[in-house]
Amino acid sequence: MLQGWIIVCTSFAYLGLLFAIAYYADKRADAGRSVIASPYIYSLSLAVYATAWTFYGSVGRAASDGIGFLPIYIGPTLMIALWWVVMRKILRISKQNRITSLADFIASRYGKSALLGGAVTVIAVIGIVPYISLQLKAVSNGFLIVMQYPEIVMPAKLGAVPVAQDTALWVALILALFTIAFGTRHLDAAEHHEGMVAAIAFESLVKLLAFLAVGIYVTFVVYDGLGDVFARAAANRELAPLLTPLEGLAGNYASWAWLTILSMAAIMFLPRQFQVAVIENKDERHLNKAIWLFPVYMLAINLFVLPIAFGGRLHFPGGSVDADTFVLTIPMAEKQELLALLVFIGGLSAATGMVIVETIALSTMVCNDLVMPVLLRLRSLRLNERPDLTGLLLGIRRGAIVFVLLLGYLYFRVAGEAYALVSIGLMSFVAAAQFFPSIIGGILWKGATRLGALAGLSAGFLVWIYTLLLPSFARFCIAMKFGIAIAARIPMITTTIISSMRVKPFWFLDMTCVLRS
Amino acid sequence: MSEFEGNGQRLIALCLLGCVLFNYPVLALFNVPGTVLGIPVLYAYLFGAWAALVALMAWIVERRR
Repeated sequence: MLQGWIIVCTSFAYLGLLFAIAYYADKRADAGRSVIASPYIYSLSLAVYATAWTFYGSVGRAASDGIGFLPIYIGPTLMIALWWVVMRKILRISKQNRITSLADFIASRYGKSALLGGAVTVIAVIGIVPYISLQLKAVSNGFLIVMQYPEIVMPAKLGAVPVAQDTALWVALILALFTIAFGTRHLDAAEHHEGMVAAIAFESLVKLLAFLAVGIYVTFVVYDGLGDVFARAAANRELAPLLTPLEGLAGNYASWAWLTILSMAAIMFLPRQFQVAVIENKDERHLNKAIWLFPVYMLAINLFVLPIAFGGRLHFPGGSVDADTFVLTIPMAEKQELLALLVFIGGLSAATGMVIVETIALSTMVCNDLVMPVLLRLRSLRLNERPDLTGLLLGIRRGAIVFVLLLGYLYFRVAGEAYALVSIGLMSFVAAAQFFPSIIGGILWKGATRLGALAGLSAGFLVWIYTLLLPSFARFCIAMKFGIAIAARIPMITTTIISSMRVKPFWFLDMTCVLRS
Repeated sequence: MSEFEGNGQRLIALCLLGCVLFNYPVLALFNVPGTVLGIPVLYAYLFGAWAALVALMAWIVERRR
């Protein structure tokens, strides 16, 4: 039953269902009877944190270095304990000042600085591009793999395709259209998207159920329980070292700690997390339940990562199958068509949830904090004499959504093939971490100044471009490779202590990437 | 100290506890060969400690006053 048309129809039916949920929630919101005014929906919407990275990528990471995927979920658990104090403060500030986005928030902490808001927007858009490309890669690879059923063929083996036939491009375009229909149907002064939140909460349920289903299937049907999987892994010469994975290099503890810190920043300052946690928050009291419900969600979605990873490596010895696809390829190899379809839809929900919220959040920023301030300053346009700017604002947002998704596709085309899913996503985490000092400084420290924030942000961003973005292109660009490889050996001159500390573990990662390629 | 502030401080303390539990050197104590109920010690510890931490957070927030 895994024919192409069934997969395509199911995918579109699923997107249609999402749209219906959003439509219903919007209607209810207009009638003043919100469906999202619940701590449970709020907690589920925070779970937009779990993307295709979590769904496909964690298993891939676990298959190569055991427990290394986990700090990404432990960090947010530690951070959310502080939300009682910190997030409450951010929520109150945001409600008082009618904050509409992350860029708006940072700018407003430094005297409504338009320059700062614009800088944050640019950093957010460029920083998130790899993360979007990760989602496109995961969905298009999942689609290509499931289409080959009953064969299991890795997309890389299918050969290069022209742009017009590239699944990832079609995924990008469909998601752009979908997000436009979803998030820019009308303009809400407070930038609330109740329909979107309801749909995202539903997506969080779907991806969790799909992942638990495949986890339980692999652990208890393919293998004979957790003990069995681990015992077989321990008996396997290749897998045994993964069972005490932090041994050896002392640096592993350091990178563990850095990953934890990065993800602590990510859970608050990724544009989409800020959108669902702050902008879409209906009631401060929803925080109380979310403080423990959201960690419960993360715990649940991670329970079966290790058994699937080890199960996959035992099932496909010799590395013929990309570990990033184990959740899909194990059910396929076992001829579980329905489960494979459920997993594909789960992966789709993980990726679409991220893309929808992220691009809506970014398009709000691009419109309010980058394009409009410039347009309003251009006197010749006489914008402030126009009575209604709704059409213009919606147009800018739609353009921004398409732009961001096409950038994501471009990155996928240029650099995305070479990296595992998690490595791509981590780049964006580092970019989002650049916001950490200026936000915390902005809310807790009276001495923070606009110039300092601007200097810190731009310095951190430049270091990010130099140490993470450029090397990722360099893997494919032979001409650039030589130059960057030399540059990577020159000790980094850091502009701020904080930014240098923040990139350290990835600095090491880059070096190895460059050296390996 | 109000109940509200108290909860904030208890949660901050839990965060600090988590920072200790999930870092070197405590992690190294559990990074040893062997299994607990068939699960490697480190994995059992990480998930166990994580679950316990979340349970404590839930207890602090939800307990009847």
